[in-house]
Amino acid sequence: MSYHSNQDPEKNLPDWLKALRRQQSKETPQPKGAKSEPPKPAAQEPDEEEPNWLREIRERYGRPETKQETPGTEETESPLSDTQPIPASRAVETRPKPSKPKLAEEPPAEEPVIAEPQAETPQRDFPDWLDDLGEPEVGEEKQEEGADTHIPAFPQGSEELTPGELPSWLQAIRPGGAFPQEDTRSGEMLPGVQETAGPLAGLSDVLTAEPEAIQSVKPPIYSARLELTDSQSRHVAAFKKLLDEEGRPKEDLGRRAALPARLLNSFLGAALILAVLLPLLNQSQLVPRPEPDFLPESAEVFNRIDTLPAAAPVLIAFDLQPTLYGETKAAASAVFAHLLDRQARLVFISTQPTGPAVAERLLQEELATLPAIATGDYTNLGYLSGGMAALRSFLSDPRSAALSVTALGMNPWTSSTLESINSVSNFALVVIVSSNADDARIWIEQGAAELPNGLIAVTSAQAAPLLRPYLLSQPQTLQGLVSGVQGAVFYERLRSLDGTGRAMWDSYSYGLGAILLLILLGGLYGRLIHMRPEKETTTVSNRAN
Amino acid sequence: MQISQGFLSQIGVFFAAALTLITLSYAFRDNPIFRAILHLFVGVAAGYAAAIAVQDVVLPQLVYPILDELAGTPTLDIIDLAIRVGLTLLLLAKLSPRTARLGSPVTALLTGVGAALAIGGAVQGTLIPQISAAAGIFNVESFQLAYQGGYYGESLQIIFEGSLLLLATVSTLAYFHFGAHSRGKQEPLRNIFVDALAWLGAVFIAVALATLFTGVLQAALGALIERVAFLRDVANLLLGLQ
Repeated sequence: MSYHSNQDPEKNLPDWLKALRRQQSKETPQPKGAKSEPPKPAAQEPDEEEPNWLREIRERYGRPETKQETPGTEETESPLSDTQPIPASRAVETRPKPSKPKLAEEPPAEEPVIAEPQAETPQRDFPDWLDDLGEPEVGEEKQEEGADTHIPAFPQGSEELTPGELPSWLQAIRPGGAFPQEDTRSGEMLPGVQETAGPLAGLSDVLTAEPEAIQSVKPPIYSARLELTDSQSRHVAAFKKLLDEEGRPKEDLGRRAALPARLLNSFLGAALILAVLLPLLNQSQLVPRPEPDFLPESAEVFNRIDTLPAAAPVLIAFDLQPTLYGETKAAASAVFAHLLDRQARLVFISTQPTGPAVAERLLQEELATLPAIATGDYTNLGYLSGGMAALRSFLSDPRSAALSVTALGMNPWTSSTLESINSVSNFALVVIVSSNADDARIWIEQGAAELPNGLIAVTSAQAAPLLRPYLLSQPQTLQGLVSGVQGAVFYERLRSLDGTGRAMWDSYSYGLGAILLLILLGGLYGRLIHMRPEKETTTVSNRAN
Repeated sequence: MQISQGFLSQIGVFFAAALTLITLSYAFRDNPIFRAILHLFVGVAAGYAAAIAVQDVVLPQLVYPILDELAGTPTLDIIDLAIRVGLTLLLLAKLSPRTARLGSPVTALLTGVGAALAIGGAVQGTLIPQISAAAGIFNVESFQLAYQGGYYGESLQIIFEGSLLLLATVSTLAYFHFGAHSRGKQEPLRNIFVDALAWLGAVFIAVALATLFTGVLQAALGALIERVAFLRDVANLLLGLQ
């Protein structure tokens, strides 16, 4: 609860209290200007209209003056009566009365006051030290009894009181001047002081409602400027820069870099396509084909096929994936054409699900004009499911293998081509057509025991480097190899024919030349780009140093 | 209305040409249509493989024999059919985490058989032949014949080729030798001789990797040529030049 200083507390009094004030003012005239001074409770007569609570307060606090009217009675309370235990009957309705500060002759507050039971002759029971203090003067005593007769619990102004000794650490952290050095309790809080304003005006020993109780000390003014060290200032600057860059939209370096890169990609793509397309449009055959001794492994394939007997069964493991069909078809068609020209009986099998379909496509697209293909004089065993284990089973016993064609109700082993085949070694030749080196390697490894004469491979150009070691192995597990467009062109030259490989050869040569040129230019450009940042980095490092 | 086979073939050709053009557009810039076509290729490949597996494997190897058995016209021995069905059911148990342990024996069988075949094949078809070939890089018989015949150039060539192969083999193996001597608190250091061989082996490895890269490049170029030739043929077909 707070009051404004400019607000008259008398105006806020309830009507009944105003009427009581008026009645009191009539009975005890007061000097002018002493408006706030409350009438003494002793001069007040109990009013019939007075509320019970106020009457009780008056009875309780008006007792000293009542006693003053009858001095010398035995019921006079001892000066230390408030320090004595309150009887249970009074504990509920009375509160311990705060004492007014006494003079220097009063005992110091540090000494404990021993509460003694109330005696008939209280002065006889006073301790010795209290007796030494002597009797107060009568006039002074009367004056004091008008205010209060209690011994103050917090004697103020005593010379024997010394300020509390604070520990050094507490004094060190204590801000100078922020806390009072002595008891700063206002006079209104001290015992025996009457309330001078508000509805409790005239009552003593109450908490004051005056603004002094809630007055706040003006806080010390601290400087709003932060005192930063140089290191802290640098960190602040760095952090501020970081925050500023965070809020700023980033420069799209990727877009700046993407545009030249996209242009470069477009240029490279266009150059490569043009290098490939122009020879195809012109159908030029200007680029010479490889010399006959250029690819001995392909020549070995030619020799083996060229020496095949007529109507020899040839097993073709067609593990070509559709992705590299376009590249491998030139070499495969050249070898198949040679086989068919030698009247070999082709038997296809595949460990890839897409293998039989791709093989059929190759035959129909490239070799459909040949009699054996046109009449369907070839056997397609279909898909050999089961991976490496199934392949091993087929190589060990072809007739017991779980082939898809047998599952469809057909029995290929009763055909004229396969009726004499009881093992893989009965085939005159085994050819692996593969776009992947791993697929060909599995055939080589698993067939090493069952194929003492080895096998030949027609592969993609990317599989050739990994299969070449098998050409030089001891024993030689791979007898011959035809790979890529280059192998196809070479094989066609051995056969003195112009096939698919020859049609692709010029484009292949120009395309390789364009790739080589682009790689050289790209490497040179990359080197130049790489040298420029090095200079900048060197400059920056020199500046930093 | 009956659609002729030739019309369908032409539709397929034009569709393939469109897909090829979209795929080649990636050389200029990545675009959403290319990505869609990419998904189409993957989906078609997976779908085709699944269809083949069902048509050529699951149905004839498992379903049809069961139906024949139920129809009273068995085409397989009952024990063979029971093994197939039992292994299939155990493998299908892997689909559920609760019954996954039941499929472990089948998986172990497949893995064990595959590993045994791979190791056996590698030893028999790759390691032994390659080691034998590496051991005979110095063709002594050819060298003696060339030297006794007075073909000193050829004999020197045989020595040079053998030495080069020997050096490449040893240095490549040294590159993968990571043993080093302890030097107390200092960082372990490889023997300087092994270190020099390893550096040389890195050169040979780089040459080998470059060869592989060249093969990939050649394969891609061959595929590109085939596709461009296909587009040329389609263009000629559209223009009536073919």
